[in-house]
Amino acid sequence: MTSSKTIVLRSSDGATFEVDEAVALHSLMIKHRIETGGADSTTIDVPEVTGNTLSKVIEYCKKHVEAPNSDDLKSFDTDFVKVDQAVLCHLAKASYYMNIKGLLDLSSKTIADMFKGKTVEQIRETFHIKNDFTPEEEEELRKENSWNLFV
Amino acid sequence: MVEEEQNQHLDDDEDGISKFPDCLLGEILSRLPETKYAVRTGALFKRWKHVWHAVPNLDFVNSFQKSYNPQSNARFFSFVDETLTLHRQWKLKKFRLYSGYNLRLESHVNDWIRYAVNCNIEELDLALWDLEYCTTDRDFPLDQFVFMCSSFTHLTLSGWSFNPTGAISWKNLRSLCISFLKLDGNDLIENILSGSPVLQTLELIYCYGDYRWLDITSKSVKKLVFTGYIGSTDDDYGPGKLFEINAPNILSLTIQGDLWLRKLLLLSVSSLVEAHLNYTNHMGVRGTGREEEETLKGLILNLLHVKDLRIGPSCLDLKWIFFW
Repeated sequence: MTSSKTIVLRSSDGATFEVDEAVALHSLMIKHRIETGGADSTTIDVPEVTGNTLSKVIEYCKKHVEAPNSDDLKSFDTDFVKVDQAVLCHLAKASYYMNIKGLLDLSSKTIADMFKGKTVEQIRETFHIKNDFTPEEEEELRKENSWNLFV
Repeated sequence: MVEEEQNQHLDDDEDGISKFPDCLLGEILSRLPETKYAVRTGALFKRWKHVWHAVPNLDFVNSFQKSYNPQSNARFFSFVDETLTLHRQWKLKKFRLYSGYNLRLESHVNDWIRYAVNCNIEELDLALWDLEYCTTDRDFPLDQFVFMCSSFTHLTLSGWSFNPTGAISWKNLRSLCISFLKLDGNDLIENILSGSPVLQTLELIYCYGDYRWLDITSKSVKKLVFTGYIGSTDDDYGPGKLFEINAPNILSLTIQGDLWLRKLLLLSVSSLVEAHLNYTNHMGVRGTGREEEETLKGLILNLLHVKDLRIGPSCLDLKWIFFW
């Protein structure tokens, strides 16, 4: 039995993670890097993602690659995004840069669900968004957007 | 280094939502259920003022209750008009519109559909209900340009009337779901099928009119869902109300909903692999339960060759177990 190839992924803060190649390939970004990498480089830098987040992303990829048809995949996904908004945003950004469609879908949809039904103020509070409109700009916005006031 | 990051003020979080690239924000906005939530994000943060403009899905829902309130309805129509003016995309993937309408608003709705078609819309989902139903009793007529749109892949239409003046051409249409359409004879269905060479799924929900059979010989249509049958409104209790389905190439058949007819026959469904029956049969005042029993028995006999046959609880209505 041939031993499966492993790849080392290195996060922005220098943390390294050894994963099976099949799991790493779940990220189309990594797949592309490997395919165009030339020499057999087995360490791939992922400078857009911190160690904490990369560890979670790998957990997601492992589950989806090793048990794609398992009955508990749906509940795994549901539980996977039961995290605070900061971690959720990190996951969304990582999945976007690493081109992992399933995780991008999951995290984006979860964030979208958190936007829904909230006022602008409530969304700012939930996601710690600083309002950078000046009072004059806000007044202008209110005038311009009077057509969507009913929302 | 990781600990340092965690101790930074959240506003400076490099991975926080405020620092998301526009494309990623677009991914989130396109998963919002209604466009009004996406538009709202324009007021969150300066950089996002215009991000929602690029979302490839437009979703406008005016609730049933609100559309009967003239002020609320007017605001809704105004909102849609202004959103489309600002949106200005050259390509749209999905467009959904659910609203009440009246004659006065007819040109607005046609303009919106034209906008979507000009953006090479793929999935169009339109449900309208006539606010003046009691006086006009008419469905909204689909404009002729809709019948020639080659970008449609999925069409869902409810509360419309179809009067194509020529041959329909929906060359990329894969799925069609029509509710409450008036069909007189099989001509319109034939026109739809011959103009949709890659159609895979056809769903008819409570269509009515003088139509007594469905003849689907198209090689592409693989799935048929037949939900409810009202028949001709002035002939509910007429004798011999028979409906026939001829679909020799379909692989999947579902018959569900309320069927106001005396007998349903399957003429040819030889390719079927799966079938699901979950309908309620209303035979009218003359029905004794025997005809309903005969219809179900006949259907099952015609479906004995089907690998996956499911019969739902609606077909096994308690009242006529006593007849067995």
